[in-house]
Amino acid sequence: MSKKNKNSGACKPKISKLGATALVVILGVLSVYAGRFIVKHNREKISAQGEKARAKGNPRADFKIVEYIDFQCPACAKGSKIIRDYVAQYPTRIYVEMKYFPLSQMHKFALLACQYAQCAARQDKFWPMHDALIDDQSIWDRMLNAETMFREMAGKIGLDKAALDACLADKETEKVILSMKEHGKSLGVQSTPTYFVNGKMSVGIKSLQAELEKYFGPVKSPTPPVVSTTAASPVPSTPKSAPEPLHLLQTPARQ
Amino acid sequence: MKIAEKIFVAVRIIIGIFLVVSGYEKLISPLQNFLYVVQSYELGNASLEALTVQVIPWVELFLGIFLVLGLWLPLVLRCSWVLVLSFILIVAQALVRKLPIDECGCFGELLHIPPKIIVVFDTTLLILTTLLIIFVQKTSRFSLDRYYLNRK
Repeated sequence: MSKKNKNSGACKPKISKLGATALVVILGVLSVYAGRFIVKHNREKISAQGEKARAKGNPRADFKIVEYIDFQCPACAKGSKIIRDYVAQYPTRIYVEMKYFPLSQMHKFALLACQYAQCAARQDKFWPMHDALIDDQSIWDRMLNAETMFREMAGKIGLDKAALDACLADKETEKVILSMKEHGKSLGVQSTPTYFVNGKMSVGIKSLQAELEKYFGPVKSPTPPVVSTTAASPVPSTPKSAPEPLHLLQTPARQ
Repeated sequence: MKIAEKIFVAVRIIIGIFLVVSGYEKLISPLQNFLYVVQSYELGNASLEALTVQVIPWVELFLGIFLVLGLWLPLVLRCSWVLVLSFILIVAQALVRKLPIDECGCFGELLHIPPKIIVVFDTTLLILTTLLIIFVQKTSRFSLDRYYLNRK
């Protein structure tokens, strides 16, 4: 810079105010995209190490849902019932994986409910326990001690009491649940219910319903809750409801 | 610099940081989380919700950055005032309608604040922003606006 420029330029900023504004905007946008890249990069690495979850439906189905739920969250119960209706109607077209995401700071029985579900899973009775917890949520949610009701449910679905008690006392049970929650967090799950429909994240039942209706159309008739005393089969062999329309069977998988 | 001016500058920067953190957290998290928050306020149709989710975090981020840097302060302060007022109205209508919202969702995963508390918090922010607008001369100390004004 020349002497003349130094003298006159000493009082003038190097870039104009509009230039500074443009620079701030560009840097702001870049920082967001950098942040997104870092978060996404970490997320993808972690999601590849996903744990095996409780599942039902057809593993080869073109419509896969991974749901992160808290048994004490009312929206989760509603969402689970919606999924149950769709699975009943399209048993070969949907695959559901359920993962725990207990929000213990908000729901005092959330973790305990997960523990009962996890212990039922150890006895191959996860889905009957899941359905019982979901269907009676509005009752046990208001109880002072929900465990009495959980024990009743366990009895009704035929869980072995001694094995159940041992499982509940086992620290590994809680560890599995919390590690599932941590895995969910690493995928970006912040609230419940959160669903991954063919890998695409949907939060809340409104978004879930939109995805299901886009793919299958509105569910025809809600099914009554399935209270079974036998183990839930991970892959239903035959459809429980009317056969699926041909055009749906030809629908390509959404990604 | 007088103590009053220091306070005004500090308040301006703190409000800016709040907006930056709030906007940035939403922008780098999956937008579906913020969509869920917006949906829970039951404001309108799906396209309006989708638009809100796309626009609001960017508005928060840039208003925050401009507040911290003190760039275009009179305009940015007024926009921030409108933004904070709209937050108060949205949360207040949810409270009046007794919508089942446990936390406001304003800061994503960083802070979990119940709606009633956020109304108080946002009202405080609104009052402070009003003061910053009224005393914009004091607010604009240590700002790029002042820098450009002095260099003209």
